[in-house]
Amino acid sequence: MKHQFNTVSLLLRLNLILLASGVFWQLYTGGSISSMLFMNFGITEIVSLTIEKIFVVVLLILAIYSAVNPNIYTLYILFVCLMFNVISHHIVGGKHFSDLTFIAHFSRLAVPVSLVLLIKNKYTDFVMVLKLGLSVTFLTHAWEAWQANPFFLDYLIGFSRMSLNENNATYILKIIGVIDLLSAILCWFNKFKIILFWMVFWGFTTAFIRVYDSGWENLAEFLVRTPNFILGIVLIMSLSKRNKLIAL
Amino acid sequence: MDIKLVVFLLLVLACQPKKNTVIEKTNSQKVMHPRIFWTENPANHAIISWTSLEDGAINKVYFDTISHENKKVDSYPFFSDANSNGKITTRKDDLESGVPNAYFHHTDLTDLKEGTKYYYRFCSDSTFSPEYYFITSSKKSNELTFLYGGDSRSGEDDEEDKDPAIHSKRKAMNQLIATLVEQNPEIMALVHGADYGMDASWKSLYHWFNDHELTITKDGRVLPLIISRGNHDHEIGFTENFRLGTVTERNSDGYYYKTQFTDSIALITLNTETSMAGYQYKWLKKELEKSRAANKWLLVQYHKPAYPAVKPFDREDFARVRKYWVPLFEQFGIDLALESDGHSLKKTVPILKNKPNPKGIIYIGEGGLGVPQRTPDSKRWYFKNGGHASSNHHVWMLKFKNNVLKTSAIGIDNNVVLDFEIKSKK
Ligand SMILES: [Fe+2]
Ligand SMILES: [Fe+2]
Repeated sequence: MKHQFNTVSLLLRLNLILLASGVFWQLYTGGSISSMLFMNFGITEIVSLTIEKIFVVVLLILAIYSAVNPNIYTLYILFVCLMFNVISHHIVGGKHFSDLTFIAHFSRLAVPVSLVLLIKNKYTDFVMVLKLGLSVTFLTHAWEAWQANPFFLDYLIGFSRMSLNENNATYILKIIGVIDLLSAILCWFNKFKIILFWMVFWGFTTAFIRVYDSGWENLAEFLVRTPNFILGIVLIMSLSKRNKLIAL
Repeated sequence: MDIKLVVFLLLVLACQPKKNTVIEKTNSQKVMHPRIFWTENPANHAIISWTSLEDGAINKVYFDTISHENKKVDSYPFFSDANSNGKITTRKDDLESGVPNAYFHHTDLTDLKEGTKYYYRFCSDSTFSPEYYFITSSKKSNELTFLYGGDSRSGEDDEEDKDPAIHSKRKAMNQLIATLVEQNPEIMALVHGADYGMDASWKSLYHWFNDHELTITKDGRVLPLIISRGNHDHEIGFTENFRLGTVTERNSDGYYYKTQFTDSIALITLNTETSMAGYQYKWLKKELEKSRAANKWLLVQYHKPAYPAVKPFDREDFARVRKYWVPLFEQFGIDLALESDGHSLKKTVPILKNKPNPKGIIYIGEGGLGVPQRTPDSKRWYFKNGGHASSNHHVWMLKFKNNVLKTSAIGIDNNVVLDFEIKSKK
């Protein structure tokens, strides 16, 4: 039992490093934060890029430190850093469904928060945050699929090696949207625990399709989406042992 | 009744304008934002667009091949009713920023004569614009000149962003465009690589259209726009105010189409903001099969670059341009690719199969119409040995003459920053 919860904690800590590495990779050579500072706030380009570099280095160090030696204070700071990243994405915009950036990042934000709750032995809240992170991200995905996000269309058409036409891909996305919506709802009921296995599979698939579609150079896109399936695994493991949480 | 009074009243009545006479008042506060869009057939078709502050019941364009300046509007022999009108979508923050509620209007002028000056005025109800003019393209010509540029969102500093009405660099670039057209009247159009405002909200577009008026020459020439769609143009304001009518509706509102400037020069506009592998891919393939043989010069333009100068080469949206479109460009041997999005000046070496090759395609760009310029990564392989990447506001001038295309990047001070020539592949 103790081992079980240690595995849970280990998984989350690993996820923290994966997530931070993804953000590091995305931003180190110039990303949403420098873009926000330079384009939106008029700070010089060199200063913006330097601030961003410092930010991602600090984020990565904090993530590694928190993974090795979890404590609520560094985890809170990590949460704030991830929030800052979300806000920069939102302000810079220029992406499909930019308005949904905040809720689309729910699973990523849930990683440090769930670890804090694990440390504090708040089992009910811990499960709640995991479910919230997963279901809100799936809900966003459902909406984007229903609305035929062009990126999603091209993942499907590319995956089919051009044999699927756009019309059929749009229909498939509608079905995916409905399944995502159902998953986002059903994961709240312990009766439908089986849905969590589906969410793990689907969270992994949708994260990995980014690498499959445009190469290993896009590994960062996969890394930042690792919470989309790791949170599901953590949830399955936590729910399978209904005993009280054992601290780290 | 006094007979004098009766005569006076009768005289007054007789002097009243006839019912069907147009009573005009020129009020730039009520109709504004003149702009023209070219789509597939710029020799015979143009879309005249404007904004009005009130919801007009009558929205028309009066036009002729001779000027009717200072004359009554009913002296124009031709008019065309706007075929698309509506209230521009506004959000709370648009109105809070100080921009007014307004209405969009678009009128298709069809069956125009090629290579001809058209003078026009537009109206919403009884409010008329001043007279402007534009020139249709000539199908038979072996020569053509147009401008290409992209990215005019965001100001230079914080103050400009808080008040998008300032936007000094965008204004300077638009003034430069007007000067270039005055100095080189053979310039036919402005091809725009997109990212007009920070987003396609009314508070961004309102100021973009205000600033766009600076591209109009002193004698009232409006330069038609050939537009693409960028990643900052997703909102509904784009489709309302940059409406391309049947062309985009036919392509599922996709903003991809071929502009046949002359019988031998064509430009294909693609849309990086919709599916690249779906309908658009099939359309592009068919269009290239058809157009390559028929044209001496065939160019493409789209927003997100295949060979970026600033952002990471491997980013998935750029990788997708290379995955789906570049092989078709190479298969059919397009002459030049026009890209935007990065906010810098660039010219790649000729590229074939992702390697430098003299038989390959040159990609130019990448967005310098007023957006703050970033520092590009000039060490990338496609900028070495003849390529170029620098931080420079610019607009490209493309001059086609028989077998030669002269391409020059004009800097904000009307100086040539970079120029090169290519020979037709046909
Ligand atoms: Fe862009
Ligand atoms: Fe841009």
